[in-house]
Amino acid sequence: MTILNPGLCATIQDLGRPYWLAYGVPSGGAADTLSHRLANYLIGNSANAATIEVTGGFSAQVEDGVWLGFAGFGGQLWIDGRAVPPGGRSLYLPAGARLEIKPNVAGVFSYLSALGGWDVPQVLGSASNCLAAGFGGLEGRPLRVGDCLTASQSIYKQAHDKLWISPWFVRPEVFYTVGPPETLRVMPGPEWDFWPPAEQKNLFQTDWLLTPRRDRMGMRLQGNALSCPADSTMLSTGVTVGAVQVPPDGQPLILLADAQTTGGYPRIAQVIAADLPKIAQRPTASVVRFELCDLEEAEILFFAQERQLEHIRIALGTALAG
Amino acid sequence: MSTVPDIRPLSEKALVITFGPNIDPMVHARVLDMADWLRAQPFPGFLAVVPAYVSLTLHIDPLLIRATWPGAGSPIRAVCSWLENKWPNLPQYPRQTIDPVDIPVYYGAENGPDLNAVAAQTGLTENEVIRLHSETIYTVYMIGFLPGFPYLGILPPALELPRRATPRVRVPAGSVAIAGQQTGIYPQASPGGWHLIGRTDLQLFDPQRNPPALLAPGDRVRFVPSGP
Repeated sequence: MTILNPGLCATIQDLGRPYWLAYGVPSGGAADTLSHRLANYLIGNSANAATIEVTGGFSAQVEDGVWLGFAGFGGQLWIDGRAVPPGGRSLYLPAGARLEIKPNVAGVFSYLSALGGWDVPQVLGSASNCLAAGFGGLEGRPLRVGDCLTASQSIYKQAHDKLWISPWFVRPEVFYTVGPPETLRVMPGPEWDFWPPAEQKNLFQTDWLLTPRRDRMGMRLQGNALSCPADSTMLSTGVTVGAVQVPPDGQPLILLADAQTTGGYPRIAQVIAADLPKIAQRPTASVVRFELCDLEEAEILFFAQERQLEHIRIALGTALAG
Repeated sequence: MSTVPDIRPLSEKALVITFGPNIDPMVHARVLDMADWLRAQPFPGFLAVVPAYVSLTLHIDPLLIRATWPGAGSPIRAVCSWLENKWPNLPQYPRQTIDPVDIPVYYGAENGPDLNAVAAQTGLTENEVIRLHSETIYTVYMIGFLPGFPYLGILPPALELPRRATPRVRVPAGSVAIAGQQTGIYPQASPGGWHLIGRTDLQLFDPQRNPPALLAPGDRVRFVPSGP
């Protein structure tokens, strides 16, 4: 498959490399791990097979017939100038087919899987493109016009002679909706006590705007600035994806998949694991509100989400076998 | 060190163990002991540990913990309580026996564009700055910020300066820099706010190597001034 238009940023991602954090290597991996896994399960791949993470728009030309899975919120899929009905789908594209993702305003990322995963080398145990150090993915960089990707062919599946689009699909809203209400659940962060109760309240009562200052590492919010905590000098320490940091200007920063491994800004909150795909998919210029959640509840929500994905994987396996 | 460490969850997937409030070689040694000890006997669901100045962050896979630890209702709390029971028996591993890693540095001029300003602000000559910076043996307290970026301490007090008022948009790879009580080396070109006093040709990070970083927390480092 040859890339005609990579869009804002198209990278190869899997579930990342959470093994080298002590050496400063970000965990990385898909920004929305649910949609990434769904794209894989749609064609019978394992969860960790390499997908293309598309930001907004994208187009490509198919050279050799290829089985694909498509999921996510970044746009609508078009094949040969015709819109594919919405939802996560499996497809067979014959040689010569042209694939396009037209961006929509509802979300940010779409995922394209290929049978057996896109064939790129594993670096430090993962295919994910680490942009900070320029390795992984295709030659360590985002995809460009003219790049050629092939499916690894590690799974055999009979080729079709013409375009095939699965009649069955997975509704994108099955895990979460990306429209309003735009509530993000958080638990208190490790430096929660740095802020007086009035400021803690401010976090939950403010409408936070998602600014264009965002990438795979993190996103800057803008709203009623939080105070600079009295005890704001802290020693750098290991940080987590989903941490809500407060830099001196009081405008929070949420860490995403490519986050640095350590940081020194106080963390007022931590986005719960079940809401991490949702925040990654929230479009720029939309507004979020934070809602308090405790650790035990967050774990229950996370396990419920994983169980739901597992049910979908099993159902898709049955559909594929049939 | 008999201080009770503070163990608390950061998220469903990570917890932090804090051994003390301030930068202290003894506290850092306990951080490294805990890291080595956990790596030596990883439990199912163990992913990685990140040593820092006074704390150790432990990353786990809650699904694996729940599947393999009988009765672990809350995986992260189960690991926290397990650590609460285990830390008093934490062994002390021998340190300081390994030779320091030598880092050849070209100080000043185009390799260290801030050397002159650092000398001016500290009231030292450029040669005194170089001598002070290179005669200290540093400890790697932490790797972070960028893949392979070592946070080295402790800088001689005469060289302590706050960060630059305006960070640079692009610091060249290999730059040797100072800020506060720390000195460090940029493995990749990146934005940065530290004072650049030199540059090394050593490759600090190579994803094809195992481990990928030249330095690890606990290593000792010496800067060696080199030609021209």
